[in-house]
Amino acid sequence: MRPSAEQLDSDGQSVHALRQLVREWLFTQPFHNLDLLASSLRGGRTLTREEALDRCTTGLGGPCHVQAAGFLQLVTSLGFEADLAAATITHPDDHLLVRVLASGRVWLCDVGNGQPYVEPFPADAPLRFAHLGWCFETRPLSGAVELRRASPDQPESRVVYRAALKPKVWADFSGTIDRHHHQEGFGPFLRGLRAVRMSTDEMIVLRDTTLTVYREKTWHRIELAEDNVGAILRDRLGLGCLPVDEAVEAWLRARRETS
Amino acid sequence: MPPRVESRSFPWHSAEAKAFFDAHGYAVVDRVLTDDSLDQINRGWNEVVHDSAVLAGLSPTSFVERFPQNRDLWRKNEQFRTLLFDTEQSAVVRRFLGAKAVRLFHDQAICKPPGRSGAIPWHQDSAYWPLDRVGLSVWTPTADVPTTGGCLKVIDGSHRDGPAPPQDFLANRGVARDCDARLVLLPTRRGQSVILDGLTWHASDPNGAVEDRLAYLTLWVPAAARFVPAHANWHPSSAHIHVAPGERLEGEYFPLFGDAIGDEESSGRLVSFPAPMRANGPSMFTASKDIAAQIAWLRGSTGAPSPLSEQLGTTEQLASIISRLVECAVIKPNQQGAVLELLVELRQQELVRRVSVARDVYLRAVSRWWEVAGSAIEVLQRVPS
Repeated sequence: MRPSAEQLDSDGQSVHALRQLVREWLFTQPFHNLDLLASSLRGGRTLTREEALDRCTTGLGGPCHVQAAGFLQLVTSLGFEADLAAATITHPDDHLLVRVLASGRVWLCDVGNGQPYVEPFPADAPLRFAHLGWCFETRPLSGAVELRRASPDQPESRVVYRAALKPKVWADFSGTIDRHHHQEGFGPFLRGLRAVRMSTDEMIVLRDTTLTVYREKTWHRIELAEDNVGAILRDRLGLGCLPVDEAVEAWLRARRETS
Repeated sequence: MPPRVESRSFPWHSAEAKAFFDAHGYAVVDRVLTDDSLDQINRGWNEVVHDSAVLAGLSPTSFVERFPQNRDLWRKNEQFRTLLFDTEQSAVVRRFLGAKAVRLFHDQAICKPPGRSGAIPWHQDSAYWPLDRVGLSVWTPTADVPTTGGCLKVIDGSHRDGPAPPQDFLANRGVARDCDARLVLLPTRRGQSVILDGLTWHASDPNGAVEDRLAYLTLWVPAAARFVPAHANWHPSSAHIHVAPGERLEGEYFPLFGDAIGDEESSGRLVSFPAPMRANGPSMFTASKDIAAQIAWLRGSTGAPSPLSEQLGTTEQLASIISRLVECAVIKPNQQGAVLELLVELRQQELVRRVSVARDVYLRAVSRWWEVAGSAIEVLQRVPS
């Protein structure tokens, strides 16, 4: 039996607080690429760090770089020692996490991957946790943490990424973020539509026209008409404050070109 | 005097059934759909409701209570597609319409949970269809429907009374016919269907029995029917009609059954309906647009009002509407919580209408809007500022 993050909290309350922050963050901030898609219509201007922080302050979320910037700001303002960290999904260092020192140990927090990573990952011990039928397993490697995932619809466990423990700063990711905004095929964001909203008892995932809703013991998948995607983004995922129409237009344009 | 209760039913292919239908404008017929098909309706309904509930973020039970009518079932569920194409429904319809070829206008189902349903007011089905010929509806419940269970009630022979404007269920201007001497109740047993002429006046009461009353309806027209949008351009199916006014109805939403070879021009009865009567107050035909216009006015917007869903899209928009309602003394400060709930309900209703093609046939949220704010806004709009 592997320990939970709570059991690993032997040095006080700080990892407990960190765990609560991760959960609250995930249940407040939506994951999505709407800004990125919408901006592609206007030449693909990248959100600045300040704009990213503003998105998070207003609960509007975004992809990993936006949410990592926001979460880093939150934890450092609360007195945690923290930095950014990088993981590799499809391209080197193409994913941002937050590296936090809590209870005298290093933890990685991933709040911007659109998946329910409701626990910080310890750098020095294995961890297993689950949320809404999704099961995760982390294990320390030399200078890194490997994350594996099994979900209700993809029950076979597989590696999601390896995250390096080396501290990084925002500027280290400027190339990655720029490529996310301008290079088709560098991640899914310029071709696909992604939006995720999660809570303690439900996670809604929109991937293009496929809507999947995960609950504690069930999951359900529905194929949407393209015409209805905007309405679902606005009224079911609560993203009406974002440039939904522009994002959908950009996504449809890319979809037509691809097909 | 208590209303007459119809106890006659016929094999659907019998000469008596057709003669009775022609004389009375309705007929209760046996075995249009088999037991297996009736079970299929229940399964398909549960699947459709489950999907719709997931999309709306409600439980299936709550969803049905709030949105008891679900349309275009055959477009979104294989069970209903099979019911349409692999059963004798279209043959039954061709026989009763006296047409070699017919088109489905749309299908739908309405569930009336016991004790938690309302009445469907008196109306003629064809009055709501933007078409030039009288159609026909096949109404099939999946279980026994006693007289207390929200059964159909009809006005015997009223298909000969001629066309009337579409009845506005919201404006409460519906024709009262419960005292008509020709009133007949149509309790049905599982395995029976009611064939209704498109001009027959009919209605149903709330379900006071103990079982859910799920009725599956298919609505049909002769293949010769032409698109006449003038009196019913608000019908949701109009969005799927891509032929010009005056042209024959066709398109992927309106499948053809039978041989449409040349001679259908004369088939079916031509009909022309008056447009709905408009007065002040809410109308079921334009409810969403009317509320959108009121909210736009409230917020001082000029130009064409945005669709209701866009005006209710964000928390900030809702807060701004409530704030304006208080400023204009339309609501009291202590009503803000209730109005917020109502606005969220209206937003959800718009989402469900669009994405799941389901609706609240009793129009409760719209009625509440009018009680809480709509009537007052209507008065304010008439007062020069």
